[in-house]
Amino acid sequence: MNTSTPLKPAVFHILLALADRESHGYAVMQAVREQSGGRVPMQTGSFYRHLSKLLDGGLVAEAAKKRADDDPRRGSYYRLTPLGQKILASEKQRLTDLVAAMGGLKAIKKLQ
Amino acid sequence: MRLYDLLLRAYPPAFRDRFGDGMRHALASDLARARSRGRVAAGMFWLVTIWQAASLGLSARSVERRRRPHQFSPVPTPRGTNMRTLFSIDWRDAFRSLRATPVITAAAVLSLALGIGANTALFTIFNSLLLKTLPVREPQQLALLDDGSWTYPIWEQVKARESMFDGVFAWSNFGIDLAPSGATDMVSGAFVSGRTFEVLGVAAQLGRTITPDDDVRGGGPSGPVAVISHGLWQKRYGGAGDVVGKPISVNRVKYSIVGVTPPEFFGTEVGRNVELMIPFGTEPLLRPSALDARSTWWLEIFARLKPGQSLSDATSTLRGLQPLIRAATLPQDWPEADKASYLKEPLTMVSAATGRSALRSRFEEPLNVIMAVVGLVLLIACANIASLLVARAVSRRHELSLRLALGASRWRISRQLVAESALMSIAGGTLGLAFAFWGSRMLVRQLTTSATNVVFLDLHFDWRVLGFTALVALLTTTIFGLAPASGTMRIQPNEVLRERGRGVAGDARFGLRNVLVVIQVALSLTLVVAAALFGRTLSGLTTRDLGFVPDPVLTISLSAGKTGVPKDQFGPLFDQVVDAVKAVPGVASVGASFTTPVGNSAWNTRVEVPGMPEPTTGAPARDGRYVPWVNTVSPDWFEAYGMKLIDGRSIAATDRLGTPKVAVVNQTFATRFFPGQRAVGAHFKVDREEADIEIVGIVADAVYRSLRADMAPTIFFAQAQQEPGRDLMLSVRAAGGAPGALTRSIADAIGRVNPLIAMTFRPLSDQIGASLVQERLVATLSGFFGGLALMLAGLGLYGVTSHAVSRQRAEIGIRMALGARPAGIVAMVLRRTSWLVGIGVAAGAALSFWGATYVKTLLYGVQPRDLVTFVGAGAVLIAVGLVAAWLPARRAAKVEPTTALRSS
Repeated sequence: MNTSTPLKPAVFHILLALADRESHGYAVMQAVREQSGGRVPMQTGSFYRHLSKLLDGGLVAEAAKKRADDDPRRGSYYRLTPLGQKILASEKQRLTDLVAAMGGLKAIKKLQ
Repeated sequence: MRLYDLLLRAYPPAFRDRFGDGMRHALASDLARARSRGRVAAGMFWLVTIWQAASLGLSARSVERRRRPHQFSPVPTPRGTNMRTLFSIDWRDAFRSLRATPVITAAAVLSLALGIGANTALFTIFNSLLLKTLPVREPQQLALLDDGSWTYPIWEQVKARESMFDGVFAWSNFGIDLAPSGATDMVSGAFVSGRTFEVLGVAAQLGRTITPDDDVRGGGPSGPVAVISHGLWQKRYGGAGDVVGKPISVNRVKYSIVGVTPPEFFGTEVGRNVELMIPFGTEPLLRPSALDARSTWWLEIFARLKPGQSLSDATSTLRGLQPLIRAATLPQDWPEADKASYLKEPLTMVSAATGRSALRSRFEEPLNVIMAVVGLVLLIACANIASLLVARAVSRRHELSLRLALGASRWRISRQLVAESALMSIAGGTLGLAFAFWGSRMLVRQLTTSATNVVFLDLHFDWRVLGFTALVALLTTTIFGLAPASGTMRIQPNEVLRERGRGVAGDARFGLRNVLVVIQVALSLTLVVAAALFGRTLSGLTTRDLGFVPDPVLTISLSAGKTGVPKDQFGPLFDQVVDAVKAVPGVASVGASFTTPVGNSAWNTRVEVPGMPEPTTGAPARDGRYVPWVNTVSPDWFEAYGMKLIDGRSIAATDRLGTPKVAVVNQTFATRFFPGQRAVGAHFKVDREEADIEIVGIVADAVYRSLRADMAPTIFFAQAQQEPGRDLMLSVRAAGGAPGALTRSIADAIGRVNPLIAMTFRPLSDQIGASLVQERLVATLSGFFGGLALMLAGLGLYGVTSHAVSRQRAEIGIRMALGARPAGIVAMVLRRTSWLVGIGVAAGAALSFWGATYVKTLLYGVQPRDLVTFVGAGAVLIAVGLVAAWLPARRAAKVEPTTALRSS
């Protein structure tokens, strides 16, 4: 999979949702829906396709241990790999730069 | 199996192994969320999920494939193949090739989905109504004492000989009012015998079921008890765990709930969901008891056969005991002849594995007709798709020839074409299942006519439905997939490659497409004829002159059975009620009667008229035309219904108990029993009554029970001259506006007279509409599918004509260059299409002429071979055909000869 930035919005949101905690698939889907305020549509089929590519690309891995209160019906838990963290960080940086550039643009406009 | 388990199968196995659990969990959670937001959200969920399974699942499969070593070569099958490669199909190639022609693919898949969806929806209903077994233990062992209507004394005799079988039980459906006072709150209920649940093998999911201890007259040690359904438990008690032991009002008598049945249990009658079950022993608490009545036939007797005992074994055992059972239950007051036939009538056991169903007999015929209609629609859709695919194959001749020339085998290429059809079938079938899911539920909702007559069918897809859909999809693939595949067998690569698209008319495959178009036109004509016949039946019935004005009349069914008022006070009580209702603002007139037109109850009687003419055939006693309908009415009743008095006087307030008995009769009665003389002033007698009754007036004919029946002789007696019963029907004509708006104030007014009177409100127009549900259903569906067929046929004609025209461009260019005028070109194209349409219409007319007799019993006021209908339908098809052909013809006539000749 093409893991070089820029990332697709859905992929970016999935990485973001996994950034600070391990979770099972549905929790990630829900987190993406909430994070994006519903702007990134996240359906089960497409989510797992993205997940499968992220797993193949080594950005995400299955979490080894499960929590004590875990319900096995939810499926596996997932976590970011160091590679995933690196790519997420660089994408964040890229977006921040973009926003900063836009801020600069505004400042120029104000001057005129 | 859950639907999404099935959908998950679209994904490759490795994907499923890896994510199956998580996906199942996510889908279940999303489905629950969508359901809580309503039907539309749930529908969207399924659409998205099915779409994703189809698109992502398949593309994931092709990714899997790509991981394996796969070499694409222009020579798809190497020489010296083994069986594995011979039959392996390259789905990816098929998928790509379909994607290359998105419009044709979408049109084909959609037609297929509509055809398969309509068939599956109907089959789902069929399955549930006719094929599914009852959700009980070993349903094959259940038997029913034919024909399902017996007296309680007979049941007691059978019960005493229970050891003949592996257990017996009795069941009687019974409408139950759950409201403790005021307006009724009807649910469907049943009386059951003590061992019913034990014999059925149904255990309570909460509490206990009814036991033999409960089924004793007047109630057992726990008092009157009731078992409620899962649905009632959820709806009324929110699924509360402490429902056992709670009181429940059953027809205003206090029962206590002892248990809840499992969710899948709906009773013994398919089409009815029984919500509340109470023991037969408590029946005397609710109404004047029929437990000892020897000629009241009101219950069904079921038996569970012993292992190894066949139905005929059971019948012969029962017949051995028949004389004892019959003799012990003989109705003493019957005439001798009837007694003799009672003793002789043989008892028979029939299988009850699928329960019994009144709905089954009522809708079997219309369902058969609609099934035939949707079958035809599927055929038309198939013909359409075949014709699209043939067109596609024709334009792909160049590509296919190239492949052949490079060494691909014809077998290999045909396989690819079949694979494309199969992919389309799978897509169409899946989408069709989704259509069927909503379609079947929508249809069943149409059958429900009132709160007490809720049609309930278990419409879950089971292996039969899925198998049926798969079979239909497979059949259609074969039908429409073979046509293009057979074409490739004849391709001569040499010629085709040289030809390079320079087509001429007269291609063999146009012959095939022409045949398909003729078939489409013929089948569409049949459907249009059917739609017209059913439409005319419905409009004939809805616009029929009823003899009364149904709007705005509100009917109120009253019952004073549980008021505690003594029997001889019912008359004065009802008089007070009528006065109270009259005083309600907005009420124009109030009539009281035994029954209402097109109502639930009817009453007929034989009459003796001095000098009555003998009917020409049969004994008068058996000839319905000489057994008049009867109603008893109050003086204002005719006014409430707007019925016109023709002669004499109406029922008057002075016609009360003690005065000479009078009657008003309708016109048919007067002319049938008093031909050529004035009926007013004449007398007649009613069967088994001594009193002479004087006819005081004649009213215009009006419908009594069924809109389909001819006007029948009817007698109206004076309500006040009858012994007052505990039940009465009120008919209230509103001064204006919707009669339903009066419900609230009338209920209050009656409640002030006596709060314990039970009442059920229903606008008369509802009641009449409900009696036409079967006709409306057949007319709506055949109209819808007739329209669909017409559209498909139009598209087919358009397709075949425009394709022919585009292939004839060069020819048309030459003709025009040589001086043909545009009008001549249009005529040339139209002539060809007219032939196709003409043959199709003729074939269709013959087909309809033959088929029309099969729907004769469903028609009213129109002959099955009605000339106007046939001519009209033919005209509609010809018009559609001409429009479909004219569009491409006009395009052809606009061809610039020089461009046409240069470009080809």
